[in-house]
Amino acid sequence: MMKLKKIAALGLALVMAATSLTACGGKKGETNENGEEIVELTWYQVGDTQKDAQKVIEKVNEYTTEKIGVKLNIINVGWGDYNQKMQVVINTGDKWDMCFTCSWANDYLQNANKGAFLELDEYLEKEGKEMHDLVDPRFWEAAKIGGVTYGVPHEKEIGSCPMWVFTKEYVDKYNIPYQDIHTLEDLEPWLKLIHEKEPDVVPLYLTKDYTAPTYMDKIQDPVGIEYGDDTLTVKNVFETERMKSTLKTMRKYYTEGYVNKDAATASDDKSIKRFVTKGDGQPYAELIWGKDLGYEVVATEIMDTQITNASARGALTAINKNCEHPEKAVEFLNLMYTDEYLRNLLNYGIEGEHYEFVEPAKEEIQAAEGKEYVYDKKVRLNEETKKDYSVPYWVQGGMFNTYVLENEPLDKWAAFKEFNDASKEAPSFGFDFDLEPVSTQVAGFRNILDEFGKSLYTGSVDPDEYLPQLQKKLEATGIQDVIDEMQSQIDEWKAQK
Amino acid sequence: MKQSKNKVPKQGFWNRVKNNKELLILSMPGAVWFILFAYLPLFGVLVAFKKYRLSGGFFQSLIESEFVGFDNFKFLFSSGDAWIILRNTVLYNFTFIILGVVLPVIVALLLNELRNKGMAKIYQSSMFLPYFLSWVVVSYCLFAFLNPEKGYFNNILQQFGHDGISWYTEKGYWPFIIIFMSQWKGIGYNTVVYLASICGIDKTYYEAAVLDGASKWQQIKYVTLPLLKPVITILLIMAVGGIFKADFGLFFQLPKDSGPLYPVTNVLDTYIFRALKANGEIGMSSAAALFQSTVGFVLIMIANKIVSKIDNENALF
Repeated sequence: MMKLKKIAALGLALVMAATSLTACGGKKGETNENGEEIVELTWYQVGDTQKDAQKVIEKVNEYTTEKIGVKLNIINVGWGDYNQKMQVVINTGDKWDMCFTCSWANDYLQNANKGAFLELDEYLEKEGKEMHDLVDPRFWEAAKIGGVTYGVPHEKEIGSCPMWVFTKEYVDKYNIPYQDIHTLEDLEPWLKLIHEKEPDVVPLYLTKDYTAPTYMDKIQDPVGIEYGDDTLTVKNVFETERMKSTLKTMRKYYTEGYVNKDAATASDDKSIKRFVTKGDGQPYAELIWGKDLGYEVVATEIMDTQITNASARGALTAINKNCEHPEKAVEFLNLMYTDEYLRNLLNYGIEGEHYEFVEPAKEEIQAAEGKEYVYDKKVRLNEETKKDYSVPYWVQGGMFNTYVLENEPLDKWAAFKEFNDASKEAPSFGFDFDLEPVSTQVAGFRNILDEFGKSLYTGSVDPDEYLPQLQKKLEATGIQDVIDEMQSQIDEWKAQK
Repeated sequence: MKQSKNKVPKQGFWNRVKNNKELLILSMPGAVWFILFAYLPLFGVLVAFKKYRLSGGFFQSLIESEFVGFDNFKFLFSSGDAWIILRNTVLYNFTFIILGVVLPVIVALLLNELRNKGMAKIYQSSMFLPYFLSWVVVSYCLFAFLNPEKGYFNNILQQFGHDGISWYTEKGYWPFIIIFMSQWKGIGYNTVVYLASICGIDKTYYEAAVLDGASKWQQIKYVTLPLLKPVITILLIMAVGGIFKADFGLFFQLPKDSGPLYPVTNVLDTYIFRALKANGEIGMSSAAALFQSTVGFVLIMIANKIVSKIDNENALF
């Protein structure tokens, strides 16, 4: 009797274990009007789940099943959890077909190196040819790792463009020639002025995410290649003269009282009045920041825009190496890149429910005539329902075939295109560091950088005292090995180029 | 099932099963849970010795990944701070273990002596409350006190003409703050455990003691504490096993991940988190967890051995 029960229990355990392993595979058997079998694709995206997502997906599925026999199952994972969740999904071989990936979350390079992503080159000549021709070739170049493409880039701004963001109120009040301000040092007289005249205002408002202006592509933080260094010499950013003097200036600003005292631990508090802060720019970014803060801002570039691997891999969609229907997934992405209706449906929701079309002003149409990526209508979001479907616009795909919002300029994407064309490639653009040989050393860096980085960048601690400590710890952890390894890899890369 | 019943000292296996069948059935759900979620996944520790690369599903990838021996463990000791991190982890946990016994036992004794049982319930519940708060919430409450510009403490200091203290960069205060906060949060829970065992003590012991003229203090010293000893020892042995594991929220959220405090707040768990959030190697994180568990297991065995040497009655097994 007992034996039987034991066997039963063990059997149950095995069955449960087995079912959890085989929970893969989509629905089969359904077909669309053209007689194609309908394939369901599971698509992981970063961002919060939207209340009306199901409604929109139904609408999308209606369209895509008819067009190409594809049905979507979109799974949203919140901003804070995405990294972890995707590691579990990918590493445990869970069912997924497409996922959002980039240089700063669900890391593109690592996953591609691990063998998680499908090699797309073959498909881009067939199913994905149209979208391949459509997107700026430099995005495709950036998406290549060792000559192989593992993701479809979302077209947006290609370079990183750090900016100073000034509150317009004070710029107007004191007649500040903000357009001439670029470097950190340029700010000084104006910070002083604001500090004296406006005691309620933080002259330079910084938060824990702040990085002092860095003139380097930090390929493996803190090691990288300085902008404009065509000899491709690998350096530790904290040993460059530029960074050393920047940190001294930051310290001066902090001790003078120009910077908020809690900068190294603060999260952005919008109620705090500030004169200037730092932001990651793109064309018409002032409009976004201004909307966010509730007052007008103006901005100026800190340095020339630089294209690095990290900046050009700001957002991509990758396909699972073990995807059962890779050609369908590529076909779907291709459709989304070329089909205005589908792209905007995913982006803004259902017309008449989440938004409506408005006519742009005549002058604007005339001004934008002849430019690329200009559409004859704008989008006005429905004030009541917009919160039920509001996805980040760059998570699902490129932005150049979306309509612009009512308050945005009609030629927004043309301006993006111009901005991208004008961006310079950093000397290290296209080089991928294989950290395998030094992964132990690199694992140690993060702790050291977290320990010193924020407080040094914000000027909260004295660089004369703490910078040597930082160097000492980096050396003890083996930074020289990493520099040497990267140098030898980059020399090889240069020779092949 | 045909075992001779004559050999009383050496009962057959099936006989023992038969004799204890109620207890076995009772323990069944727990046992099944353990087999499914604790023992079956155990073979996953293999990951710690492999350079995990994808080549299909999880099992296939696991088997086909390259075996790298102890390479994944290296990062734990590669940093120049390895010593400080181990010291922080062990010393804090040691303090927590000691205080986690002493303070709750004292509070439990005090609560037990209260005449007004209604008030005792109120004290007990209000002490229990912080236990349910997450460290993120607690960290913001603490921030209200320690905010360098608007916090209560700095306001008070400034009223008396002192300079405010930059709490989140001065590491000297933090060992105290961390110990205080962890005890504040955990005391209610631990108190309940001891209070429950005190309530379970037979009242006739006290009656006898009173008849013999024992004072309150003598009753505590000669009746309550000796009878609490088994519970205390068991909880102590269990706690020793966790000495290499640190409460992540306490050491990460509470100091707001502030860099200048790392020398006193960086512990194994926060170190591992920071090291691996960058490269996402599951082999390395498994190695770290395996290291912590192995050391914990060894320590439990040692602690138990020591206890059983001193007093066999109180040993765990």
